[in-house]
Amino acid sequence: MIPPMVMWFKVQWFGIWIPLFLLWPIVIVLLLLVMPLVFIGMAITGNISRFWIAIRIVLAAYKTICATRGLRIDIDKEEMTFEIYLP
Amino acid sequence: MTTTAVIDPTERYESGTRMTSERKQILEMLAAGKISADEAERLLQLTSGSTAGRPASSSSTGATTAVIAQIIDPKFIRVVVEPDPTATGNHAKHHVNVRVPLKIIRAGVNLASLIPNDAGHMVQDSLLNKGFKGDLSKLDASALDELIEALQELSIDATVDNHLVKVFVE
Repeated sequence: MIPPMVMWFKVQWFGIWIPLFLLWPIVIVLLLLVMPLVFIGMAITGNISRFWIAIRIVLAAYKTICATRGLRIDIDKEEMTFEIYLP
Repeated sequence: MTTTAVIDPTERYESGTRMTSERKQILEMLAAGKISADEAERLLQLTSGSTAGRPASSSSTGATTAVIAQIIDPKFIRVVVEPDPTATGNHAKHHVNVRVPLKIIRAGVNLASLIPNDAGHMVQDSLLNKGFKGDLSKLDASALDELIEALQELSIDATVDNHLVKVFVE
């Protein structure tokens, strides 16, 4: 499973390919920084069992993000154009 | 002592050519109502290259398998809105093309099942305020499989405000 690497986003005349592949390393680093803190916090409060739920939620969120590949939304109204495409 | 040859129906010959597993699969899908007669004809035409007394080319077999896989296991749900060409008068013309991967449904339900109960109630209340009256907590894996299976037969054609609305899976 690979998350979408780029996203086409267009509003009216302005369209841009957003390089999501630049975002994922930042997200991974943030997760690696936050998860130990979450683990320590849960250990202190005695909810250590919930840490595994947090891990499962992160994995499920990752799968959901990966599942968005292929999503396409094109809306063309009279005075409004909106496009999102995740190849 | 006589011996009786038992012929497997799957190995019977038809018009001098062997019925391939693909042709059998197509006919079974037609019999089960999973595909229409037109779709079956199209698929059989694709397989004809492999059953016309010559060896199946990898490209034709691959194309057939891909089409069968698309029909059996659709990947996307599509919502298309186009202006009705038969409509008269000056009316707004909107174009909408939405393609949502079916994987999102499964992944979303898995994610929702991990939401703690107290947060789940908040989500449920929020959905209720938006007009969604379903109970997400009752949507388990088996119900999800049934839902996705039912979606495979989904096809909606409607005319709304001089626009053709089509909802289908592909």
